[in-house]
Amino acid sequence: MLRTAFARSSLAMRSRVPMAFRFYSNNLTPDSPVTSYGADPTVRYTENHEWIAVHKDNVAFVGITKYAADALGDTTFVEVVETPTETEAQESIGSVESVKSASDLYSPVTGTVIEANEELVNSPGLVNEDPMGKAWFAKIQISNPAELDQLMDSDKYEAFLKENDH
Amino acid sequence: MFRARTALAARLAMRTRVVMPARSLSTNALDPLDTYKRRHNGVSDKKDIDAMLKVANSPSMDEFVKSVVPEDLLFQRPLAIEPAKGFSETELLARLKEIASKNKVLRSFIGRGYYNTLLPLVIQRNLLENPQWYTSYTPYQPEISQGRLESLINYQTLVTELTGMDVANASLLDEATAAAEAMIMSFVGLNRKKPIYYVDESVYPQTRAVLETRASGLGIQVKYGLPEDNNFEGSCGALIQYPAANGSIGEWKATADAIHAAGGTFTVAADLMALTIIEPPSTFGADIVVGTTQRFGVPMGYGGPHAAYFAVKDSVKRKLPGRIVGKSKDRLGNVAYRLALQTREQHIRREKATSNICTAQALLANISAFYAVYHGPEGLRKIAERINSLTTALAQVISEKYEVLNKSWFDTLTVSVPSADAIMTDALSKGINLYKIDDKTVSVSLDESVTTEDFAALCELFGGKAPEAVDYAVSVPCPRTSKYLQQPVFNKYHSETELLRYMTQLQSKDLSLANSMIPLGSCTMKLNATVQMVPITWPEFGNLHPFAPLDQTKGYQELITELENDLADITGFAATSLQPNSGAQGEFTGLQAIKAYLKSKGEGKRNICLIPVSAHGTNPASAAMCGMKVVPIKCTPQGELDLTDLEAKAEKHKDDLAAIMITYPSTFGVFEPTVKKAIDIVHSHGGQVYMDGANMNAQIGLTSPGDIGADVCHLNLHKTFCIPHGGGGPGVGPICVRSHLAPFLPAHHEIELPARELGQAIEAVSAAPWGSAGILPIPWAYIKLMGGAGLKSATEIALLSANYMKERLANHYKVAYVNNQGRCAHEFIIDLRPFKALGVEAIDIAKRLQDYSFHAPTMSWPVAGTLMVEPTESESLVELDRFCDAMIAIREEIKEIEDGKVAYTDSVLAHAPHNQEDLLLGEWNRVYSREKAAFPVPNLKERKFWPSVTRVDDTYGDTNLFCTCDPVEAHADLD
Ligand SMILES: Cc1ncc(COP(=O)(O)O)c(C=O)c1O
Repeated sequence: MLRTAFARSSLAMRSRVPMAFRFYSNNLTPDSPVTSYGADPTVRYTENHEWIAVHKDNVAFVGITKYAADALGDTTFVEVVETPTETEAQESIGSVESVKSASDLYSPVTGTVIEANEELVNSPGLVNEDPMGKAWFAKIQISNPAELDQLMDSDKYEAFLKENDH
Repeated sequence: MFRARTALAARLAMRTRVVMPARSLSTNALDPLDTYKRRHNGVSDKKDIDAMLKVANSPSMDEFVKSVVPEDLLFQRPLAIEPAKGFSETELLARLKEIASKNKVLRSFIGRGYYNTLLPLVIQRNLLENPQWYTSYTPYQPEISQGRLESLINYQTLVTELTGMDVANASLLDEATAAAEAMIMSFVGLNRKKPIYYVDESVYPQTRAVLETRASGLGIQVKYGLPEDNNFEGSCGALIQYPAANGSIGEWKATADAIHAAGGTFTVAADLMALTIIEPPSTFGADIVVGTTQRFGVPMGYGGPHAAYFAVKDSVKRKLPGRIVGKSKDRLGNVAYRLALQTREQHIRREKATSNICTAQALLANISAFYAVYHGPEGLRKIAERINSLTTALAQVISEKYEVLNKSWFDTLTVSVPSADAIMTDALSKGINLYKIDDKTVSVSLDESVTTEDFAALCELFGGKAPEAVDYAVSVPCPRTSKYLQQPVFNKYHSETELLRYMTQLQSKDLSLANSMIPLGSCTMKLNATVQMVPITWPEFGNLHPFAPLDQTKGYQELITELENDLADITGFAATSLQPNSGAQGEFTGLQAIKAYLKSKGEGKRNICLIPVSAHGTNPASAAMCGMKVVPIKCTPQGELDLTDLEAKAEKHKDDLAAIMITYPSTFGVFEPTVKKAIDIVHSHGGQVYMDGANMNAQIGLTSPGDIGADVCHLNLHKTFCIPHGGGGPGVGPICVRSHLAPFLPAHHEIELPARELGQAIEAVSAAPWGSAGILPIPWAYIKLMGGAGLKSATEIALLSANYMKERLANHYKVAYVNNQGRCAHEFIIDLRPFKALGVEAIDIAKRLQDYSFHAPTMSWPVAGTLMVEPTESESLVELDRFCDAMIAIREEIKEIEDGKVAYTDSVLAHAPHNQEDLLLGEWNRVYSREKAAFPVPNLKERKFWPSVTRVDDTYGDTNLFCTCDPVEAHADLD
């Protein structure tokens, strides 16, 4: 997600946490809406730094990773789609902006967005506070679980981050 | 040298021990002494040049240049510019007077979007002619730009108040392109699914032409006239003019409702002066209102520059094109202005941006804002009432003999006459220009400049007699009932004393070239010489209407032709179009010309545009606006174009390849040796080569886009050719092309442009035939003052200055990119990412430079976490050193953090910049002293520029968007 549109701003306001002290735990927040929906969701990641948490009933939560949220800096604006909306994999289902960057959120899978997190629109700061919990963007009824095989698991994503050292 | 002199001179020199100056002044006493080159170049003393060459490790300028520019690119042709040695300042003004005298300034009642205006002299002298206002850059460093930011907020407030809309931007290039932005916003707003766009007959033809050009790339179909049954299904919206081109004031509520019923966007192009007495478009359902603020004090200038405005409802503010000034707060919680919501713009969104606008019209917007501050709501209303009353009185006189075709009006009457030519000729004999609509119709537009004599002459022309007196009597179908401009700023500076002090107060908050160097990479903040600025306010250049008959503008024609030829010579190309109003608009124009050329060869399907990832955001945005598909090309870690990637992508797209856009020297500030190879690859795969000329300051007289092998380039006359940046515009972005592209340069519907007779020309890209003609005397003068050799010397000094600074700073910082001989071009990048682990980032150093009274270099572009330094040729060695010393002193401050002596969060860097309030009020409990904060180096005691606020909070500003000036007197503290 941050690939295409990452800031070329000449006015980038730095985020207040120095890089070296950042700690990337790109895991779901325990006891959050995402985890309390059902037990042991399967979590996958995209190269655009989206996460998707799929529950047993093929309902999935989608958001941006901790890594992405930190790279973005203070979020100033979030847009989500109206629901329900049919979506294909790689279609935009929202956008997120900070002072220095603007990015689309792409659906990692095909399905129907059955709920969007309206709370984010009013409190974009949640994206920085709890990107992998309270700040989910969309709830999707997925129609083709096989697509998940294309995505990275947590280990692969961490390796991907290291390798690309964004 | 000594031998060549005459024996007498030699003897004289010996006897009186006259030492010939080291500078290259003439030995012939008849030659003038007020030569320009040595005033333009900051370094011209041989001693200084030698010292700099020494630091740069080069034996001579020639050797130095060869180590910077690849030898196979260095050309041997001297520039053909006349006079070769350049004019002296006196000679230049004499020549310009001669040219100016060939322009005939008649009384213009042409109207059509351009009106005479009375620029209050206090504003002319203290803003338009004042380097503190015209030499500053776009306010990217808000702490040292609060003056013009406040004035731009006033401008935005002026626009929102008069249009009745919620949010306005800080200007666009002209009314026609503003209308095009509205069309595109309407189209994109509906996900590009409804391609039809209706343009009413009321709209000026020059606007229609530009809409046509801009629609073509995106697949929008422009339809003239609104649908008969008011059914707008399938369309994304419509544009109307208010008042209409024929003068009438329409009723638009039903149209607005019908457009909304079909889901479309209703755009109104409105005359702000009229809006002071007629109902604003917000009252009848406008979603977007656009127009020009030209008649608010900005001279017609034969077409420009003028500020266009753009205003919308709050709900779509995030889709607004161009810069928006918003209110935020600084570290101390005080009100501070800044550029808001930059994530909308091309530099972040690139090919996804819907607009490529970058440089806009800040200076002109500020003139209009001050015009409104000066007159206030009462004054503006009075001006409009006078115009309208006189128009009504004129209509009565004309109606006795002729038919006035429009039944309502603000300032324009369309008159049916037996022979338009006859009345036009009669008008000419009275020194008057009217507008001919067709053989039997003319129109006449009044403005604030109309005198008793003008009015009498007009009455006489139409066979009547002027009344002794005319009552103030507003006669419009929908008089304005709502109040406007009640904010204090528009109601307290109406005496000249008060206004002057307000202007001075604002300008003192802004750092401009009158204070110190502005080393912004890619921006070329060189000298904007007074001698170049003087002519632009001469009436012979300022007071011509762009549609005045060509035989009245022979002076302009001569100047334009000379400038076009000189620019073609400098770029190594065959032809020039001066129509584009900015670099970004030049890019769009150049790519459109390429498309038209390819189409003419039957290769219209080519639509891939290769763009290096290092390119400026306007490049991909312009390509996307032309309907091209952007394919990014990688750069190597050394910052060069990745030829392997280029070759692969060119091969992959060989059937569809339209163009590549390259910047040379690259945006990383290096002359890449492989540029010819890259050009060959693209040509051999059927593509054209577009060169972004932002960096032309490194090429002139040494090499050229044409000589390197490109097909078209744009120039930023506001960078390389001395047009001042105006605090964010004006700009002029001409394109120069190889001969095969010449037939495709843009045309203009009103004025037949030379060399476009082949019928292949693209439609206009600007409202006026030569864009911002009014400021063309500036680049013309620069070229004529320098002469061919002088221009070359400027390039050499620019390259040397950059390399000198690079050498000095390389001992303290990492310099990111150099060529294989260790040279940068005219600019270089300091890599600050190594300090990130300490918490120190580019922004800290940028802000700390303000404490040293400097404007930061370009920050985080083209590489995040860096600063790009471009000194230009106009800075003295003393100033170059002063900047280097500041950077070196800051490096010591970073070292204190590195050494663990201070924590980043306590450091002077984290708190920078410091204003007076920060240092004087309250208890001082920082780990550093006040003296260190404000006077870290001794020379600041003599010469200190104070930031007026502390660091501005960007996040607060973007989450709490507020874009107009305060309705109440006192600024309540935020938070
Ligand atoms: C490399 C480059 N290209 C294009 C542009 C756009 O020019 P303008 O601002 O005149 O539209 C700029 C301006 O900053 C630039 O630096």
